[in-house]
Amino acid sequence: MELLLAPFEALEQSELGLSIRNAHLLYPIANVTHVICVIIFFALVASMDMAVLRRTPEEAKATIRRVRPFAFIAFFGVVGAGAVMFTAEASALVKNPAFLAKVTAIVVAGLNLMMFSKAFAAGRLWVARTSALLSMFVWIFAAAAGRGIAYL
Amino acid sequence: MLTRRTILGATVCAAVAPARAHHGWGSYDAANPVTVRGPIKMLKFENPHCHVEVESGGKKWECTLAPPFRMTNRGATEAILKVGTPVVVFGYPSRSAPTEMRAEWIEVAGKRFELR
Repeated sequence: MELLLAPFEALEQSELGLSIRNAHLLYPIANVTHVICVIIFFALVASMDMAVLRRTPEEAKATIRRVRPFAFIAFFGVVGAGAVMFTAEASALVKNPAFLAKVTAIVVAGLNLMMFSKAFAAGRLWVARTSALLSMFVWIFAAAAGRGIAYL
Repeated sequence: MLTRRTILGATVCAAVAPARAHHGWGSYDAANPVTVRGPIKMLKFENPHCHVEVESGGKKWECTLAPPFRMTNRGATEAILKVGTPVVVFGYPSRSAPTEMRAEWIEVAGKRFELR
């Protein structure tokens, strides 16, 4: 356990971790950016999921082609701003059950995306639609768990 | 006045002080607030929340304050919370750690700073 925690302790105690904790504005800016990127990201994800659920596969495909690049940009924003906050408190966060639940949800969402892509490309529409529905629930859970970090 | 000895003492205190508390905001007992009076033993003026350790009645209380930006905004700056400064902290004790509390306000030299 100690050995597993060591790299996170080191990250937190690093010059970078220290300067994030000491700067008065960087942390709150990262916090706000994180939330804004989450909102934009979820809006884009939901627009793709809804297209898969409600439109023809051809229409859904066109929506995904247009929207997905922006969703990836928003996701990088989420991860980037999140990394700033993570660095400041790394050793506490990796022990926080809400944080672990959030990371698990993100991994599940990634696996779900892979499953969706395969099914959608193979024309198994109902598998793809189930996956699209699951996507929205998993991302909402991830956001809720993220907010829960402050309370657990 | 800070002497070399108190600086050394404070450094030792800071070095052996327990790691920052990792308890969430949900686990504080708002029905039984406590008032802690004593000198600041350790100050962490850091994000996401500032902390002071206050020695009171033979116990060392770890008091969780507001984020640095709010603290500074309300006048409770790093400069007035120097180690050794006597303070009064009113807040809510943690349910899981007996000498940790979330501060509602902190008083320095008779001036009260609301932290919520």
